[in-house]
Amino acid sequence: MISIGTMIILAVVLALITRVFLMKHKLLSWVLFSAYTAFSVFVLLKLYGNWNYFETMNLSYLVGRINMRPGFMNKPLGWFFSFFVMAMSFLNSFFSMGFSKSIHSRNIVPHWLMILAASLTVFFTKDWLLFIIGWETLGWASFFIIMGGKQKKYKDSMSYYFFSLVSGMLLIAAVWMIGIKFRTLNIHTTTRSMIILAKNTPWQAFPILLMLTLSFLIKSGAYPFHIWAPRAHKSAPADFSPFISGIMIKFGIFGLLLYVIPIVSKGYAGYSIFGMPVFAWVFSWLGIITSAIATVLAFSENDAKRLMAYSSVANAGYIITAIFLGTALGIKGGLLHAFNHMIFKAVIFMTIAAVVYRTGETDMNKMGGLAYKMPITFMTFLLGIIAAAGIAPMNGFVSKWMIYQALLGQKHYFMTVAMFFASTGAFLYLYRALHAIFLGQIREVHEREVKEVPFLMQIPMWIGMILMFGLGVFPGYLLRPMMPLMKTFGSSISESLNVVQGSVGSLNTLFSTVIFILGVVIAAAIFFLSAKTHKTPMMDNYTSGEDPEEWNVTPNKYQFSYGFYEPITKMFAWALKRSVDKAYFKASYILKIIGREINMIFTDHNNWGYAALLGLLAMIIGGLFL
Amino acid sequence: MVGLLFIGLGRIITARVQRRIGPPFYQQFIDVIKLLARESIWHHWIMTLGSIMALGGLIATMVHVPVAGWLPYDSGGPIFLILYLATIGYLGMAMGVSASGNPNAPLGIGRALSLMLGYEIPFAAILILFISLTGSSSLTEIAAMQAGGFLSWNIVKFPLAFIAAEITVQAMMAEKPFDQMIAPSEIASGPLVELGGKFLGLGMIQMAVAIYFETAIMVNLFFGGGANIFTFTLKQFGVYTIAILINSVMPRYKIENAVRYLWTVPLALIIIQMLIVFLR
Repeated sequence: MISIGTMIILAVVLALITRVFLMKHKLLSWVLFSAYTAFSVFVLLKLYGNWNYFETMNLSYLVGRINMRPGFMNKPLGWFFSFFVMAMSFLNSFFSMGFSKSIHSRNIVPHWLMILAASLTVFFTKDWLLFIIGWETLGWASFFIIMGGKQKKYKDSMSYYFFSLVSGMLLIAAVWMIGIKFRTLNIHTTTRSMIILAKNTPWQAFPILLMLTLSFLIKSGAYPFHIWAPRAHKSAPADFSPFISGIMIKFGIFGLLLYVIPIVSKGYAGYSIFGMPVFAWVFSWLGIITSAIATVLAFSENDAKRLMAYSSVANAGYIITAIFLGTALGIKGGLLHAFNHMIFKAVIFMTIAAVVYRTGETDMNKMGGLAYKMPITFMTFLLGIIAAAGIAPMNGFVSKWMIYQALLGQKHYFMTVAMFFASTGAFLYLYRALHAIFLGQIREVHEREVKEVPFLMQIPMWIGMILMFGLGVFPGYLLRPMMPLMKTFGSSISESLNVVQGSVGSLNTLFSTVIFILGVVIAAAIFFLSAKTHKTPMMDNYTSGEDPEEWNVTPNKYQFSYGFYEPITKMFAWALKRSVDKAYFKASYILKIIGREINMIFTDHNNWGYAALLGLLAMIIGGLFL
Repeated sequence: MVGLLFIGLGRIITARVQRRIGPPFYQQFIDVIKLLARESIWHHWIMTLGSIMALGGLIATMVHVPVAGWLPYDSGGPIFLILYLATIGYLGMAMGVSASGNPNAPLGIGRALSLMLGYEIPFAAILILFISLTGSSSLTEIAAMQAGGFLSWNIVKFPLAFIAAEITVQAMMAEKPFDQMIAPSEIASGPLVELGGKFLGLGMIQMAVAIYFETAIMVNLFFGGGANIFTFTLKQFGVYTIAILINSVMPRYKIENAVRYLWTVPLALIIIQMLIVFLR
């Protein structure tokens, strides 16, 4: 049996090989990448069920006064996340093989392999030290992919890197405090000690928990750290965006579930509000506020990738809310939504990448009518947005329904209403994307040049469609394997294939889908049994009796896309005025001024007095301490 | 069927309010059959797909709404499923008319969706009030809770919630003052602009189905369901009559004003109602 450590080293070695020797052979390196991910999926499938499996490296060293023996453990939570990482990367590799021919940086494969190695480390590690190393590797490797060696993308990718640096620093600080307190860095033993600590002296556990939570929330793009998400998605290569949205955002969720949620839900002894710890209550609300704000921001967004990035942030918000509820149903709903979101958002970003591949455009105002040329891409996108808006019968509905049930079961009525807002809002902006990219009038350029993407790129789309629909009808196929995972969160309900139990009701997905299909059959029967139809060109429609050509109206102009939700945007103008971006901008401006002043002290000869004063102060303070 | 009958009768009521005689009550059936029999034009197969998906989704929604406590399958009228199955109908409608290529259509859909954002919030609040009282998200149980005479109906127990619900349903049915999405004089009937022949026929059936299940939800929530299908339908017609009467004397809001109104007046009413219920 191949150990997890070997898989990690294999990924690093492959990364080196592709970086050094295969820079000129993009296709070959993608094939290697694909083979590696397929192999990891195979290895992970063999590991399933073997929850006592662990391995220790023949290596021991001292960190401070703590004796370290790094190793890996197979836990259900880590297994599920790494399985999805590998499986989604495998699907994505087909897409990238087709995509890489034209506009593509060569640096993607090696860095992506580094990300895979780092994520295996993070998901299976036994101690915090390897966790930090993996976490930091994730940050810089994805930074290089997002920037892609292009100067003009420097600013946006730098904002992403800044946030992942902050996240890493908070993590290091928290781990440092854990190490000092418990004299060990083992994740699982410190969880138990933390539960006891939180029970007895909450104020000692609080700063550690807060820092860890913030660190993980930054990674999942929660408010007010959401601003990196749209920028990173926009500047990332189109075929890497599925990975950022599907997987990278979920690393934060993994961290929360690994360490914060068990401690908060089991060991909290402080004040509670509405029957849950204040700590969890605050972050639950933060999750729902994140989704509401991301929804409002998405209304007025004109760039397809940025719009979908906001949608991802909104979905991360639901997941955060659900898991902080701390109930078995909430965690189950949150986890299921996380996995479902991995599938449907990856698929949506793939369709956008397909559009970029054919048109080279992400501005929705410059598109339209592409469905007539790319029907498969359109169908995939359609099913994707049905899932993303949480509409039955796709997979997104089941998990969203469970989150609603979890919220109602705990009597969080205001959160439920806020979630209704975000959910209906999702329908609004997703329809806008559907219309502006795929429907309406097709541009003349696209009419001539665009065609469907090659078959290789269609493979992941087809698989995605089947997964979204299949898991919508039979959520049990995902919920049943998740039973050992739910057991670690104290729930031992056995799942059936197509009936989901909630707190105030149950849902039979198979039945509702059958009814829907019957309804469609009836509608189709009415349609096809009635009179004949004949086709007319797209421009031949109602124009108040005027001839479009006389007014010089071309298909480019006969498309409604710009300012689609202007009334709603106007309503939220007061909120959009006070954006967090401005606060960040001001902070960076002040930092720059301080930096320049400090720089002046050492470089400007007129200021030697300050330098002398500073030196004197330093000497006095140093003297006091010595 | 019942929905079409309602529209037919509704047209008479509107006419009477406006001092006309109005068409016969079966006029709507004649219209639909005529439209289905006409040869019609289409622009792209997505239009067909959208029309069929819309009607399919709405029919599926209708099947889940209990009629006088009766359901084809013991699902209990799951309210969340009903809301989200209806949405696939609306998505189908939106997609179909978007593919027609006329900018008036997405303009109307954009208005309809903005309005949807407006009415879903108070409607969700109303549902949450009843879910919190019964501890179940099943329409059948909410209706069963009101068993036993006129005085135990929710309309008597929670009058403020009923007024709020009436306003939201008015918006849901896109009757005036919330008919921005159709607005014949502004955007040439919006979504319906390119629909002709059987597409329009299907559109009318969609509208009828939507009116049917929206009134049915209202009857289940506020009028105690019904002893048999006849009284149930009578109550539904009562709800529809209120909507039509308001419709026939009202002007039209601007869309942002409509949304703002829906977020203030009905929401405030429902919150006052909640406070009364929970503090008592």
